Amino acid sequence: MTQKITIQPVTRIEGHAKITIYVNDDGKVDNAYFHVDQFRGFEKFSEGRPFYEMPIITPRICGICPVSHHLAAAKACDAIISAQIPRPAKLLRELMHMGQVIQSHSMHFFELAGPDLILGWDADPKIRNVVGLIEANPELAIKAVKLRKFGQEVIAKLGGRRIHPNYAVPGGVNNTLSIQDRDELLRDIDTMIPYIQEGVALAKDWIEKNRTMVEEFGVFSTGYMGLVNEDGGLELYDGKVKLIGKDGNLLELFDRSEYLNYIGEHVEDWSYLKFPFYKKLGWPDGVYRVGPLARLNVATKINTPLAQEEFKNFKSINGGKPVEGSLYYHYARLIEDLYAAERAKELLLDQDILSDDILVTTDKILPEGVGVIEAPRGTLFHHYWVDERGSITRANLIVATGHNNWAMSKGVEEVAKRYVDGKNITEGMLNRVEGLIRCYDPCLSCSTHAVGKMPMVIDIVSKSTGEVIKSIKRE
Amino acid sequence: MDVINVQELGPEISEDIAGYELVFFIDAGIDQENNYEIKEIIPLYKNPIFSHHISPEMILAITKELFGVSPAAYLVSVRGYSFDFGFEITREAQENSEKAIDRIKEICMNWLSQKR
Repeated sequence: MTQKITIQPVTRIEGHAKITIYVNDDGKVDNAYFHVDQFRGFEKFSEGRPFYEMPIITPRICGICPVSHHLAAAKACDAIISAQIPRPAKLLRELMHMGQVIQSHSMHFFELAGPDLILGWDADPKIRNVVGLIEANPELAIKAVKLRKFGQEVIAKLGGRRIHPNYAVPGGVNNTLSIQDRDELLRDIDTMIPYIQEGVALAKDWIEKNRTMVEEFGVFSTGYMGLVNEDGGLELYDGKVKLIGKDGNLLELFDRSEYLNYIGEHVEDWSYLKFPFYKKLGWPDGVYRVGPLARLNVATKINTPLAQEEFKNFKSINGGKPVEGSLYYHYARLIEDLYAAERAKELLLDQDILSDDILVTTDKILPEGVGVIEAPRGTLFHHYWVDERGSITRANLIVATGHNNWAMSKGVEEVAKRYVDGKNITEGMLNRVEGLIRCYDPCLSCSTHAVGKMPMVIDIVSKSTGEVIKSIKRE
Repeated sequence: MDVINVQELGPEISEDIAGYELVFFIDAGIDQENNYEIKEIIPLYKNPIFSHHISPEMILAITKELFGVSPAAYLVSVRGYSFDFGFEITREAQENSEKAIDRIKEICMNWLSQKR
């Protein structure tokens, strides 16, 4: 009799998802699926809205990475009005983005992934959380809180509030940075950088001590995609889209406006989230990954000194070839966190950051515009088509988590097959399956939540009889 | 007095409230019979399901653990009626909000008088 194990919702990720694991009579995992079972329809209800509202509408997709949607939308709007935004505006947008990367990456490592890595996969779930971390290492917990707060302060000083800022507009930004705010951020950044370095050291130490697991946990070949700058270095705000193959060889280097020539989307009937793939290789040979691991795999260097030193170490993991292990996402994420803090400091020290040359206007309305940015979780495309009045006639958003959809499904299956024993199912086994998902830090979109409305339920069900054999509920 | 407007509670809020003696967590409610509900809350560890779904009690617990202080706190839940997209809250929700604000003022005044 085949058993069906359902993990729903997956915990310590952003949004709603469930995992279904099918177990055969021998207790072995036959296959597993990662489902995204929420649907919000932002593309559809954007239709008819003026294009310039999109930087305000689309951040509502999420409360964790609204800045990514805000900026990708603004860049698509820049393209629609054919605007080359002034350098100070670009610096200010990038600074806001660095704030978002710092708060998002720091929160993920210390508060979402940290409980598994620091407290252990099999630790009591009652303490395997942020509170357990605080009890285990309060000094580290305070630093994590301060890192997230710093990132949010960057966002708030520019956009007026920590979440859902109103800042980027078609053609630039709507506010300057004051000297006082610049100096306050500069004062704090030198404290934040060592905090992140502490996280990097912690991740490296964990990898060293768990080498066997790291080398077998969700390890598989894919292509990789991410933005790079003119020198081929890591780029989070702007640049060309670089796609490399499984062996690390360059497949494509293209402008954001050409993305439809290279990226297709596959649909499965068991998930609302589509599966993007590289068109020339087709589905599923053309699957690729995005996000921190992918960005470091496609980049040839990092243009800030401390992050570059770590980058060299990262590149040595697989002799310069792409690093495939899903757990390396955590290390890559912290290297990017370090880069974001160093880059934020560079931006704050740039004289143009205080300039009031922050906006250009045009009287053009082109029929479409594409914006791209490296959201914390990966490459994010916003593509809008508009009529002659500037009303949205169609919108296409390819979000970071979508690019990683196949990888998460593949990883879930691999980890389930390796760790889940259908005849003796433990919470720790299922936590490892969830842990694979957390490597990718998926953002399945969050919005309004009501207190106490999200229990986690794990049902183990007989596929043939429908009988619930075991049910675990977490409040 | 300060008002912090956030979409969700995160651990960093603990540092914000650590410097205050009295805190109100105010949100919309859907599954409640009363037009508004106010209850005193204390630090309490609850297993957070999502990073962005940390309960007010948990924020108080984090504040106590990390910063060694525990402000008096209330959870205020104002009944809402329509959560569709729109520009205004409903008339009923507006009325509920005003009643809740009046009650919050009363609690503040009592708290101040006891302090004196």
